[in-house]
Amino acid sequence: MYLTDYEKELLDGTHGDAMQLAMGVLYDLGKHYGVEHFVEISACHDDSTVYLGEAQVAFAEHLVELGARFCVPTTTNACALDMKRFARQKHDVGLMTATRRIEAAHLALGAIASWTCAPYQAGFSPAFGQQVACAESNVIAFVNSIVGARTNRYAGPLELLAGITGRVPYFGLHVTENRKARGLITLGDDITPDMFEFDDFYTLAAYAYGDIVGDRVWAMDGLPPYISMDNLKNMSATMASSGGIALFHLVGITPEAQTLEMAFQGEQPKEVVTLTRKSIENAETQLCNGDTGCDLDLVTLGCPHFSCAEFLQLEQALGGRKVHANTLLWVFTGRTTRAMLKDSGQLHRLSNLGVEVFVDGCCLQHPTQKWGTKTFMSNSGKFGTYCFGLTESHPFLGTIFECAESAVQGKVIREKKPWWN
Amino acid sequence: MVELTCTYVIAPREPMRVELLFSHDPISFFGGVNAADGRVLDYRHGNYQHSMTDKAFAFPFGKGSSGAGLVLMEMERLKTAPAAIINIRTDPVILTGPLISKHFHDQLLPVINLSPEDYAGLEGKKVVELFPTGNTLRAFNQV
Repeated sequence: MYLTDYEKELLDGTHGDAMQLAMGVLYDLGKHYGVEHFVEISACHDDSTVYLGEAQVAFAEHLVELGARFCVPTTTNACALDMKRFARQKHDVGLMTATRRIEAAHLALGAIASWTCAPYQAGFSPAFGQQVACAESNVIAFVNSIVGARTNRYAGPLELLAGITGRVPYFGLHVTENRKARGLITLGDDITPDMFEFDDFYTLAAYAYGDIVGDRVWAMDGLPPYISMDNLKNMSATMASSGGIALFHLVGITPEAQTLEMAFQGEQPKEVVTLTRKSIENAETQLCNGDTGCDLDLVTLGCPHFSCAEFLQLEQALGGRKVHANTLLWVFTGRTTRAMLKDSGQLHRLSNLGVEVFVDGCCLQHPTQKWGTKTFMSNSGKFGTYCFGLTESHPFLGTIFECAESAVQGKVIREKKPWWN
Repeated sequence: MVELTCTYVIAPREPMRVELLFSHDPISFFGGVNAADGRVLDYRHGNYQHSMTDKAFAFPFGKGSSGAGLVLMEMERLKTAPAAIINIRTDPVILTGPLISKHFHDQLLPVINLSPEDYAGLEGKKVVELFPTGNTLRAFNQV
Protein backbone atom coordinates (compact mmCIF):
# COMPACT_ATOMS: atom_id res chain seq x y z
CA MET A 1 0.00 0.00 0.00
CA TYR A 2 1.32 3.42 -0.95
CA LEU A 3 1.51 5.79 2.01
CA THR A 4 2.51 9.47 1.92
CA ASP A 5 5.31 10.56 4.25
CA TYR A 6 2.69 12.08 6.54
CA GLU A 7 0.69 8.84 6.60
CA LYS A 8 3.85 6.89 7.47
CA GLU A 9 4.39 9.28 10.37
CA LEU A 10 0.81 8.78 11.56
CA LEU A 11 1.43 5.05 11.58
CA ASP A 12 4.86 5.14 13.29
CA GLY A 13 3.68 7.29 16.19
CA THR A 14 5.42 10.57 15.27
CA HIS A 15 2.09 12.37 15.75
CA GLY A 16 1.16 10.69 19.02
CA ASP A 17 -0.64 7.62 20.32
CA ALA A 18 -4.14 8.62 19.19
CA MET A 19 -3.06 9.10 15.57
CA GLN A 20 -1.03 5.89 15.63
CA LEU A 21 -3.90 3.75 16.96
CA ALA A 22 -6.45 5.37 14.65
CA MET A 23 -4.24 4.98 11.60
CA GLY A 24 -3.46 1.38 12.63
CA VAL A 25 -7.15 0.46 12.49
CA LEU A 26 -7.67 2.25 9.14
CA TYR A 27 -4.51 0.66 7.70
CA ASP A 28 -5.77 -2.81 8.71
CA LEU A 29 -9.13 -2.03 7.13
CA GLY A 30 -7.33 -0.97 3.95
CA LYS A 31 -5.33 -4.21 3.93
CA HIS A 32 -8.55 -6.25 4.17
CA TYR A 33 -9.98 -4.51 1.11
CA GLY A 34 -6.65 -4.65 -0.76
CA VAL A 35 -6.47 -0.88 -1.26
CA GLU A 36 -3.56 0.86 -2.95
CA HIS A 37 -3.67 4.15 -1.09
CA PHE A 38 -5.64 6.42 1.26
CA VAL A 39 -7.89 9.34 0.29
CA GLU A 40 -8.34 12.56 2.26
CA ILE A 41 -11.85 13.40 3.43
CA SER A 42 -13.44 16.85 3.73
CA ALA A 43 -16.02 16.09 6.43
CA CYS A 44 -17.20 13.45 8.85
CA HIS A 45 -20.55 12.56 10.45
CA ASP A 46 -20.22 11.08 13.93
CA ASP A 47 -22.83 8.46 14.84
CA SER A 48 -21.19 7.20 18.04
CA THR A 49 -23.68 9.32 19.93
CA VAL A 50 -26.73 7.21 20.86
CA TYR A 51 -25.79 5.44 24.08
CA LEU A 52 -25.60 1.73 23.33
CA GLY A 53 -23.37 0.78 26.23
CA GLU A 54 -20.46 1.68 28.44
CA ALA A 55 -17.85 0.44 25.93
CA GLN A 56 -18.68 3.31 23.60
CA VAL A 57 -18.39 6.01 26.29
CA ALA A 58 -15.12 4.57 27.56
CA PHE A 59 -13.75 4.50 24.01
CA ALA A 60 -14.58 8.16 23.30
CA GLU A 61 -13.10 9.21 26.66
CA HIS A 62 -10.00 7.15 25.92
CA LEU A 63 -9.54 9.04 22.62
CA VAL A 64 -9.78 12.34 24.51
CA GLU A 65 -7.20 11.16 27.07
CA LEU A 66 -4.87 10.27 24.22
CA GLY A 67 -5.17 13.86 22.96
CA ALA A 68 -7.16 13.14 19.80
CA ARG A 69 -8.89 15.95 17.84
CA PHE A 70 -10.98 15.89 14.68
CA CYS A 71 -9.05 17.45 11.80
CA VAL A 72 -12.09 17.82 9.50
CA PRO A 73 -15.53 19.34 10.32
CA THR A 74 -17.37 16.59 12.18
CA THR A 75 -21.10 16.74 12.98
CA THR A 76 -22.78 14.80 15.77
CA ASN A 77 -25.69 12.49 15.01
CA ALA A 78 -28.79 12.27 17.17
CA CYS A 79 -28.15 11.02 20.70
CA ALA A 80 -30.54 8.94 22.83
CA LEU A 81 -32.68 11.71 24.32
CA ASP A 82 -33.59 15.39 24.45
CA MET A 83 -30.79 16.77 26.60
CA LYS A 84 -33.04 19.42 28.18
CA ARG A 85 -36.40 17.61 28.24
CA PHE A 86 -35.30 14.04 29.02
CA ALA A 87 -37.43 14.01 32.20
CA ARG A 88 -40.61 14.69 30.17
CA GLN A 89 -39.63 11.74 27.96
CA LYS A 90 -39.30 9.62 31.14
CA HIS A 91 -35.76 8.71 30.26
CA ASP A 92 -33.83 7.81 33.38
CA VAL A 93 -31.08 9.90 34.83
CA GLY A 94 -28.52 7.16 34.15
CA LEU A 95 -29.08 7.45 30.41
CA MET A 96 -28.90 11.22 30.69
CA THR A 97 -25.59 11.01 32.57
CA ALA A 98 -24.15 8.66 29.97
CA THR A 99 -25.32 10.99 27.19
CA ARG A 100 -23.68 13.98 28.87
CA ARG A 101 -20.43 12.01 29.07
CA ILE A 102 -20.73 11.22 25.36
CA GLU A 103 -21.43 14.91 24.68
CA ALA A 104 -18.42 16.05 26.73
CA ALA A 105 -16.05 13.59 25.06
CA HIS A 106 -17.21 14.28 21.50
CA LEU A 107 -17.13 18.06 21.97
CA ALA A 108 -13.64 17.72 23.45
CA LEU A 109 -12.67 15.92 20.23
CA GLY A 110 -13.90 19.03 18.41
CA ALA A 111 -17.29 17.89 17.12
CA ILE A 112 -19.94 20.37 15.94
CA ALA A 113 -22.94 20.05 18.28
CA SER A 114 -25.50 19.38 15.55
CA TRP A 115 -27.16 16.36 17.24
CA THR A 116 -29.20 15.33 14.26
CA CYS A 117 -29.63 12.29 12.01
CA ALA A 118 -30.57 14.58 9.11
CA PRO A 119 -27.48 16.85 9.07
CA TYR A 120 -28.02 17.37 5.33
CA GLN A 121 -31.23 19.29 6.24
CA ALA A 122 -29.49 21.29 8.94
CA GLY A 123 -26.84 23.04 6.87
CA PHE A 124 -24.24 20.27 6.92
CA SER A 125 -24.24 18.70 3.50
CA PRO A 126 -21.13 17.90 1.49
CA ALA A 127 -20.97 18.85 -2.19
CA PHE A 128 -21.31 16.51 -5.16
CA GLY A 129 -18.24 14.30 -5.61
CA GLN A 130 -16.61 15.14 -2.27
CA GLN A 131 -14.95 12.35 -0.30
CA VAL A 132 -16.39 12.12 3.23
CA ALA A 133 -16.72 9.59 6.06
CA CYS A 134 -20.23 9.17 7.40
CA ALA A 135 -21.75 6.85 9.92
CA GLU A 136 -25.55 6.50 10.43
CA SER A 137 -27.18 4.37 7.81
CA ASN A 138 -29.67 6.96 6.50
CA VAL A 139 -27.01 9.68 6.32
CA ILE A 140 -24.73 7.33 4.39
CA ALA A 141 -27.47 6.43 1.89
CA PHE A 142 -28.66 10.03 1.49
CA VAL A 143 -25.23 11.60 1.14
CA ASN A 144 -24.11 8.99 -1.41
CA SER A 145 -27.31 8.76 -3.40
CA ILE A 146 -29.09 12.10 -3.25
CA VAL A 147 -26.08 14.41 -2.83
CA GLY A 148 -23.55 12.35 -4.80
CA ALA A 149 -20.77 12.75 -2.22
CA ARG A 150 -18.77 9.59 -1.48
CA THR A 151 -18.70 7.54 1.69
CA ASN A 152 -18.68 3.90 2.67
CA ARG A 153 -20.87 2.52 5.42
CA TYR A 154 -18.67 3.56 8.34
CA ALA A 155 -19.89 2.27 11.67
CA GLY A 156 -19.46 3.98 14.98
CA PRO A 157 -16.74 4.40 16.23
CA LEU A 158 -14.73 3.86 13.01
CA GLU A 159 -15.87 7.27 11.68
CA LEU A 160 -14.24 8.92 14.72
CA LEU A 161 -10.89 7.51 13.58
CA ALA A 162 -11.49 8.82 10.03
CA GLY A 163 -12.34 12.27 11.44
CA ILE A 164 -9.22 12.23 13.62
CA THR A 165 -6.82 11.22 10.84
CA GLY A 166 -8.73 13.06 8.06
CA ARG A 167 -8.45 10.10 5.70
CA VAL A 168 -9.81 6.67 4.82
CA PRO A 169 -8.58 3.77 2.70
CA TYR A 170 -9.53 4.39 -0.94
CA PHE A 171 -11.99 1.57 -1.60
CA GLY A 172 -15.66 0.79 -2.03
CA LEU A 173 -17.87 3.76 -2.76
CA HIS A 174 -15.00 6.24 -2.69
CA VAL A 175 -14.06 4.81 -6.11
CA THR A 176 -16.06 5.84 -9.24
CA GLU A 177 -16.13 2.32 -10.71
CA ASN A 178 -17.82 0.86 -7.61
CA ARG A 179 -20.64 3.40 -7.77
CA LYS A 180 -21.92 1.85 -10.98
CA ALA A 181 -25.36 0.22 -10.77
CA ARG A 182 -25.24 -3.53 -11.40
CA GLY A 183 -28.93 -4.35 -11.39
CA LEU A 184 -32.16 -2.54 -12.14
CA ILE A 185 -35.54 -2.38 -10.45
CA THR A 186 -38.37 -1.42 -12.78
CA LEU A 187 -41.99 -0.74 -11.90
CA GLY A 188 -44.55 -3.27 -13.11
CA ASP A 189 -47.63 -2.29 -15.10
CA ASP A 190 -49.80 -2.67 -12.02
CA ILE A 191 -47.92 0.19 -10.31
CA THR A 192 -50.01 3.14 -11.44
CA PRO A 193 -49.25 6.89 -11.22
CA ASP A 194 -52.05 7.50 -8.69
CA MET A 195 -49.89 5.61 -6.16
CA PHE A 196 -47.20 8.31 -6.48
CA GLU A 197 -49.55 10.74 -4.68
CA PHE A 198 -49.19 8.80 -1.41
CA ASP A 199 -46.02 9.41 0.58
CA ASP A 200 -46.13 5.92 2.08
CA PHE A 201 -45.85 4.43 -1.43
CA TYR A 202 -42.22 5.63 -1.54
CA THR A 203 -41.52 4.12 1.87
CA LEU A 204 -43.00 0.76 0.84
CA ALA A 205 -41.16 0.77 -2.49
CA ALA A 206 -37.94 1.55 -0.59
CA TYR A 207 -38.55 -1.32 1.84
CA ALA A 208 -39.01 -3.71 -1.10
CA TYR A 209 -35.90 -2.29 -2.79
CA GLY A 210 -33.70 -2.89 0.28
CA ASP A 211 -35.12 -6.38 0.71
CA ILE A 212 -34.33 -7.31 -2.92
CA VAL A 213 -31.03 -5.49 -3.37
CA GLY A 214 -29.42 -6.26 0.02
CA ASP A 215 -26.02 -4.57 0.19
CA ARG A 216 -25.43 -4.04 -3.54
CA VAL A 217 -25.55 -0.94 -5.77
CA TRP A 218 -28.58 -0.97 -8.05
CA ALA A 219 -30.82 1.56 -9.77
CA MET A 220 -34.57 2.05 -9.80
CA ASP A 221 -36.45 3.40 -12.80
CA GLY A 222 -39.93 4.83 -13.07
CA LEU A 223 -40.37 7.11 -10.05
CA PRO A 224 -41.65 10.61 -10.85
CA PRO A 225 -39.10 13.47 -10.96
CA TYR A 226 -41.21 15.63 -8.61
CA ILE A 227 -40.54 13.31 -5.63
CA SER A 228 -40.00 15.45 -2.51
CA MET A 229 -36.76 15.83 -0.58
CA ASP A 230 -38.43 14.27 2.47
CA ASN A 231 -39.58 11.25 0.49
CA LEU A 232 -35.98 10.86 -0.70
CA LYS A 233 -34.89 11.10 2.93
CA ASN A 234 -37.41 8.48 4.06
CA MET A 235 -36.48 6.21 1.16
CA SER A 236 -32.79 6.44 2.11
CA ALA A 237 -33.58 5.54 5.71
CA THR A 238 -35.94 2.69 4.82
CA MET A 239 -33.66 1.02 2.25
CA ALA A 240 -30.78 1.20 4.70
CA SER A 241 -32.94 -0.65 7.26
CA SER A 242 -34.56 -3.41 5.22
CA GLY A 243 -31.27 -3.80 3.38
CA GLY A 244 -27.66 -2.69 3.76
CA ILE A 245 -28.04 -0.03 1.08
CA ALA A 246 -25.23 2.54 1.03
CA LEU A 247 -25.90 3.92 -2.47
CA PHE A 248 -28.95 3.74 -4.72
CA HIS A 249 -29.67 5.41 -8.02
CA LEU A 250 -33.08 6.71 -9.08
CA VAL A 251 -33.02 7.15 -12.83
CA GLY A 252 -33.77 10.73 -13.85
CA ILE A 253 -33.66 11.90 -10.23
CA THR A 254 -30.39 11.28 -8.39
CA PRO A 255 -27.25 13.06 -9.63
CA GLU A 256 -25.25 10.05 -10.80
CA ALA A 257 -28.25 8.61 -12.64
CA GLN A 258 -29.67 11.39 -14.77
CA THR A 259 -29.98 8.72 -17.46
CA LEU A 260 -30.01 4.93 -17.36
CA GLU A 261 -26.69 4.93 -19.18
CA MET A 262 -25.11 7.17 -16.53
CA ALA A 263 -26.32 4.94 -13.70
CA PHE A 264 -24.76 1.88 -15.34
CA GLN A 265 -21.66 3.80 -16.51
CA GLY A 266 -22.34 2.74 -20.09
CA GLU A 267 -22.89 -0.95 -19.30
CA GLN A 268 -26.03 -3.08 -19.29
CA PRO A 269 -27.88 -4.18 -16.13
CA LYS A 270 -26.74 -7.66 -15.10
CA GLU A 271 -30.09 -8.38 -13.50
CA VAL A 272 -33.55 -6.79 -13.76
CA VAL A 273 -36.29 -7.22 -11.16
CA THR A 274 -39.81 -5.86 -11.53
CA LEU A 275 -41.48 -4.31 -8.52
CA THR A 276 -45.18 -5.13 -8.55
CA ARG A 277 -48.23 -4.26 -6.50
CA LYS A 278 -47.58 -7.54 -4.70
CA SER A 279 -44.13 -6.26 -3.61
CA ILE A 280 -45.77 -3.12 -2.21
CA GLU A 281 -48.39 -5.21 -0.38
CA ASN A 282 -45.68 -7.49 1.06
CA ALA A 283 -43.70 -4.49 2.27
CA GLU A 284 -46.83 -3.12 3.91
CA THR A 285 -47.31 -6.43 5.74
CA GLN A 286 -43.77 -6.10 7.12
CA LEU A 287 -44.06 -2.44 8.11
CA CYS A 288 -47.66 -2.01 9.16
CA ASN A 289 -49.73 -3.80 11.76
CA GLY A 290 -52.81 -5.36 10.19
CA ASP A 291 -55.23 -4.48 13.02
CA THR A 292 -57.58 -1.63 12.28
CA GLY A 293 -59.38 0.93 14.39
CA CYS A 294 -57.46 0.14 17.57
CA ASP A 295 -56.61 2.75 20.20
CA LEU A 296 -53.37 4.57 19.64
CA ASP A 297 -50.84 5.35 22.40
CA LEU A 298 -48.08 7.13 20.52
CA VAL A 299 -47.66 8.78 17.14
CA THR A 300 -43.94 9.26 16.66
CA LEU A 301 -42.57 11.32 13.78
CA GLY A 302 -39.10 12.37 12.76
CA CYS A 303 -37.17 9.21 11.89
CA PRO A 304 -34.96 10.62 10.37
CA HIS A 305 -35.38 14.01 12.07
CA PHE A 306 -38.38 16.04 10.87
CA SER A 307 -37.78 18.88 8.42
CA CYS A 308 -39.39 22.33 8.16
CA ALA A 309 -41.39 21.08 5.15
CA GLU A 310 -42.70 18.12 7.16
CA PHE A 311 -43.74 20.41 10.02
CA LEU A 312 -45.75 22.47 7.51
CA GLN A 313 -47.52 19.29 6.34
CA LEU A 314 -48.20 18.28 9.93
CA GLU A 315 -49.71 21.63 10.85
CA GLN A 316 -51.87 21.60 7.73
CA ALA A 317 -53.05 18.07 8.52
CA LEU A 318 -53.98 18.97 12.10
CA GLY A 319 -55.96 21.96 10.83
CA GLY A 320 -56.13 23.54 14.29
CA ARG A 321 -57.49 20.37 15.95
CA LYS A 322 -55.98 19.13 19.22
CA VAL A 323 -54.23 15.81 19.77
CA HIS A 324 -56.56 13.29 21.51
CA ALA A 325 -56.24 13.18 25.31
CA ASN A 326 -55.26 9.48 25.31
CA THR A 327 -52.65 9.78 22.55
CA LEU A 328 -49.21 11.35 22.42
CA LEU A 329 -47.93 13.04 19.28
CA TRP A 330 -44.16 13.34 19.52
CA VAL A 331 -41.95 14.84 16.85
CA PHE A 332 -38.16 14.47 16.83
CA THR A 333 -36.02 17.06 15.10
CA GLY A 334 -32.68 18.84 15.25
CA ARG A 335 -31.84 22.06 17.08
CA THR A 336 -31.61 24.16 13.90
CA THR A 337 -35.05 23.09 12.62
CA ARG A 338 -36.56 23.72 16.04
CA ALA A 339 -35.04 27.22 16.09
CA MET A 340 -36.64 28.03 12.74
CA LEU A 341 -39.91 26.51 13.90
CA LYS A 342 -39.84 28.78 16.93
CA ASP A 343 -39.03 31.89 14.92
CA SER A 344 -41.90 31.23 12.53
CA GLY A 345 -44.42 30.93 15.39
CA GLN A 346 -45.17 27.36 14.36
CA LEU A 347 -43.69 25.78 17.49
CA HIS A 348 -46.07 27.82 19.63
CA ARG A 349 -49.08 26.92 17.49
CA LEU A 350 -48.22 23.19 17.39
CA SER A 351 -47.57 23.12 21.15
CA ASN A 352 -51.05 24.58 21.73
CA LEU A 353 -52.47 21.63 19.82
CA GLY A 354 -50.65 19.18 22.07
CA VAL A 355 -47.79 18.33 19.72
CA GLU A 356 -44.55 17.74 21.62
CA VAL A 357 -41.36 18.64 19.78
CA PHE A 358 -38.12 17.10 21.01
CA VAL A 359 -34.58 17.80 19.85
CA ASP A 360 -31.27 15.89 19.94
CA GLY A 361 -32.78 12.48 20.58
CA CYS A 362 -33.96 9.48 18.62
CA CYS A 363 -37.53 8.14 18.50
CA LEU A 364 -36.17 4.57 18.47
CA GLN A 365 -35.02 5.08 22.06
CA HIS A 366 -38.58 5.47 23.38
CA PRO A 367 -38.81 4.26 27.01
CA THR A 368 -41.71 1.95 26.20
CA GLN A 369 -41.99 0.28 29.60
CA LYS A 370 -42.16 3.55 31.54
CA TRP A 371 -44.98 4.83 29.32
CA GLY A 372 -46.71 1.46 28.96
CA THR A 373 -46.85 2.15 25.23
CA LYS A 374 -48.65 -0.65 23.39
CA THR A 375 -49.47 0.87 20.00
CA PHE A 376 -47.20 3.00 17.84
CA MET A 377 -47.81 4.81 14.58
CA SER A 378 -45.19 6.49 12.42
CA ASN A 379 -44.55 7.64 8.87
CA SER A 380 -41.09 6.04 8.96
CA GLY A 381 -40.03 2.81 7.30
CA LYS A 382 -36.92 2.82 9.45
CA PHE A 383 -38.97 3.04 12.65
CA GLY A 384 -41.27 0.36 11.23
CA THR A 385 -38.33 -1.97 10.62
CA TYR A 386 -36.75 -1.67 14.06
CA CYS A 387 -39.80 -1.06 16.26
CA PHE A 388 -40.59 -4.70 17.08
CA GLY A 389 -36.96 -5.55 17.96
CA LEU A 390 -36.88 -2.61 20.37
CA THR A 391 -40.42 -2.64 21.80
CA GLU A 392 -41.97 -6.03 20.91
CA SER A 393 -44.85 -4.13 19.34
CA HIS A 394 -45.79 -4.07 15.63
CA PRO A 395 -46.24 -0.41 14.65
CA PHE A 396 -48.66 1.16 12.18
CA LEU A 397 -47.38 3.00 9.13
CA GLY A 398 -49.13 6.02 7.67
CA THR A 399 -48.54 9.26 5.85
CA ILE A 400 -48.08 12.44 7.89
CA PHE A 401 -51.75 13.20 7.16
CA GLU A 402 -52.87 9.79 8.45
CA CYS A 403 -50.60 10.09 11.50
CA ALA A 404 -52.10 13.51 12.32
CA GLU A 405 -55.66 12.31 11.78
CA SER A 406 -55.01 9.27 13.98
CA ALA A 407 -53.48 11.44 16.71
CA VAL A 408 -56.57 13.67 16.70
CA GLN A 409 -59.03 10.78 16.83
CA GLY A 410 -56.95 8.69 19.25
CA LYS A 411 -57.19 5.62 17.07
CA VAL A 412 -55.52 4.33 13.94
CA ILE A 413 -57.00 5.89 10.81
CA ARG A 414 -55.71 4.94 7.38
CA GLU A 415 -57.25 5.85 4.08
CA LYS A 416 -57.76 3.31 1.30
CA LYS A 417 -54.70 3.00 -0.90
CA PRO A 418 -54.70 2.32 -4.65
CA TRP A 419 -52.52 -0.78 -4.10
CA TRP A 420 -55.16 -2.36 -1.82
CA ASN A 421 -57.66 -4.79 -3.29
CA MET B 1 -16.47 -33.27 8.50
CA VAL B 2 -15.85 -30.89 5.63
CA GLU B 3 -12.84 -28.68 5.06
CA LEU B 4 -13.72 -25.36 3.44
CA THR B 5 -11.49 -22.73 1.87
CA CYS B 6 -11.73 -19.38 3.64
CA THR B 7 -10.00 -16.07 4.22
CA TYR B 8 -9.07 -15.09 7.76
CA VAL B 9 -9.79 -11.36 7.86
CA ILE B 10 -8.85 -11.55 11.53
CA ALA B 11 -7.36 -14.93 12.51
CA PRO B 12 -7.51 -16.39 16.04
CA ARG B 13 -4.32 -16.52 18.11
CA GLU B 14 -4.77 -20.25 18.82
CA PRO B 15 -6.72 -22.95 17.00
CA MET B 16 -10.31 -22.87 18.25
CA ARG B 17 -13.27 -25.25 18.15
CA VAL B 18 -16.68 -23.63 18.69
CA GLU B 19 -20.35 -24.26 18.17
CA LEU B 20 -21.80 -22.81 14.95
CA LEU B 21 -24.90 -20.61 14.67
CA PHE B 22 -25.72 -20.47 10.96
CA SER B 23 -28.24 -18.49 8.95
CA HIS B 24 -29.03 -17.34 5.41
CA ASP B 25 -30.29 -13.96 6.65
CA PRO B 26 -28.26 -10.77 6.91
CA ILE B 27 -28.42 -9.07 10.31
CA SER B 28 -28.43 -5.63 11.89
CA PHE B 29 -26.70 -5.80 15.28
CA PHE B 30 -28.46 -2.59 16.30
CA GLY B 31 -32.12 -3.40 16.86
CA GLY B 32 -31.54 -7.00 15.76
CA VAL B 33 -29.43 -8.29 18.65
CA ASN B 34 -29.75 -7.91 22.42
CA ALA B 35 -26.28 -6.91 23.65
CA ALA B 36 -27.20 -7.87 27.23
CA ASP B 37 -27.74 -11.58 26.49
CA GLY B 38 -26.43 -12.13 22.95
CA ARG B 39 -29.79 -13.21 21.53
CA VAL B 40 -31.23 -12.36 18.12
CA LEU B 41 -34.17 -9.94 18.55
CA ASP B 42 -35.28 -9.64 14.92
CA TYR B 43 -38.27 -11.92 14.42
CA ARG B 44 -37.63 -11.89 10.67
CA HIS B 45 -34.20 -13.51 11.17
CA GLY B 46 -33.70 -17.28 10.97
CA ASN B 47 -31.89 -17.34 14.33
CA TYR B 48 -34.60 -15.39 16.17
CA GLN B 49 -34.19 -15.84 19.96
CA HIS B 50 -31.03 -17.93 19.55
CA SER B 51 -27.92 -16.83 21.44
CA MET B 52 -24.70 -16.14 19.53
CA THR B 53 -22.60 -15.82 22.69
CA ASP B 54 -19.33 -17.81 22.44
CA LYS B 55 -20.45 -19.33 19.12
CA ALA B 56 -19.20 -18.81 15.59
CA PHE B 57 -22.05 -16.67 14.21
CA ALA B 58 -22.49 -17.13 10.46
CA PHE B 59 -24.61 -14.64 8.49
CA PRO B 60 -24.02 -13.77 4.84
CA PHE B 61 -23.46 -10.03 5.34
CA GLY B 62 -24.42 -7.16 7.61
CA LYS B 63 -27.39 -4.91 6.99
CA GLY B 64 -29.15 -1.99 8.58
CA SER B 65 -27.93 0.41 11.20
CA SER B 66 -24.31 1.49 11.40
CA GLY B 67 -24.66 1.20 15.21
CA ALA B 68 -23.36 -2.38 14.81
CA GLY B 69 -19.79 -1.41 15.74
CA LEU B 70 -20.85 0.03 19.09
CA VAL B 71 -23.15 -2.92 19.83
CA LEU B 72 -20.38 -5.45 19.13
CA MET B 73 -17.94 -3.51 21.34
CA GLU B 74 -20.49 -3.55 24.15
CA MET B 75 -21.08 -7.28 23.64
CA GLU B 76 -17.35 -7.87 24.01
CA ARG B 77 -17.37 -5.85 27.23
CA LEU B 78 -20.34 -7.82 28.59
CA LYS B 79 -18.88 -11.15 27.38
CA THR B 80 -21.98 -11.82 25.25
CA ALA B 81 -20.18 -11.46 21.90
CA PRO B 82 -19.89 -14.29 19.40
CA ALA B 83 -16.57 -16.17 19.49
CA ALA B 84 -16.13 -15.59 15.76
CA ILE B 85 -17.99 -14.03 12.81
CA ILE B 86 -18.34 -15.86 9.49
CA ASN B 87 -19.56 -13.97 6.39
CA ILE B 88 -19.62 -14.13 2.63
CA ARG B 89 -18.48 -10.52 2.74
CA THR B 90 -17.72 -8.30 5.70
CA ASP B 91 -18.43 -4.61 5.29
CA PRO B 92 -16.77 -1.97 7.50
CA VAL B 93 -19.87 -1.81 9.72
CA ILE B 94 -19.29 -5.38 10.90
CA LEU B 95 -15.49 -5.14 10.84
CA THR B 96 -15.32 -2.03 13.02
CA GLY B 97 -15.87 -3.72 16.39
CA PRO B 98 -13.33 -6.52 15.82
CA LEU B 99 -10.70 -4.08 14.43
CA ILE B 100 -11.02 -1.67 17.34
CA SER B 101 -10.84 -4.55 19.83
CA LYS B 102 -7.67 -5.73 18.17
CA HIS B 103 -5.87 -2.36 18.12
CA PHE B 104 -7.21 -0.61 21.20
CA HIS B 105 -7.97 -3.52 23.56
CA ASP B 106 -5.59 -6.21 22.26
CA GLN B 107 -8.48 -8.71 21.98
CA LEU B 108 -9.11 -10.85 18.92
CA LEU B 109 -12.60 -11.55 17.60
CA PRO B 110 -11.87 -13.67 14.51
CA VAL B 111 -13.63 -12.71 11.28
CA ILE B 112 -13.74 -15.22 8.43
CA ASN B 113 -14.96 -14.87 4.82
CA LEU B 114 -16.14 -17.76 2.61
CA SER B 115 -17.27 -17.89 -1.00
CA PRO B 116 -21.07 -18.21 -1.40
CA GLU B 117 -20.62 -21.92 -2.32
CA ASP B 118 -18.42 -22.72 0.69
CA TYR B 119 -20.70 -20.63 2.91
CA ALA B 120 -23.65 -22.80 1.84
CA GLY B 121 -21.54 -25.82 2.88
CA LEU B 122 -21.85 -24.70 6.51
CA GLU B 123 -25.60 -25.26 6.58
CA GLY B 124 -26.59 -27.98 9.03
CA LYS B 125 -23.11 -28.12 10.58
CA LYS B 126 -22.85 -27.90 14.38
CA VAL B 127 -19.22 -27.10 15.12
CA VAL B 128 -16.37 -25.32 13.36
CA GLU B 129 -12.61 -25.38 13.86
CA LEU B 130 -10.69 -22.20 13.07
CA PHE B 131 -6.92 -21.83 12.71
CA PRO B 132 -4.35 -19.06 13.27
CA THR B 133 -2.70 -19.67 9.89
CA GLY B 134 -3.66 -21.10 6.53
CA ASN B 135 -6.83 -20.65 4.51
CA THR B 136 -9.17 -23.41 5.62
CA LEU B 137 -11.68 -24.12 8.34
CA ARG B 138 -13.31 -27.39 9.31
CA ALA B 139 -17.01 -27.92 9.93
CA PHE B 140 -18.52 -30.91 11.76
CA ASN B 141 -22.00 -32.42 11.90
CA GLN B 142 -21.85 -33.16 15.61
CA VAL B 143 -20.66 -31.45 18.76
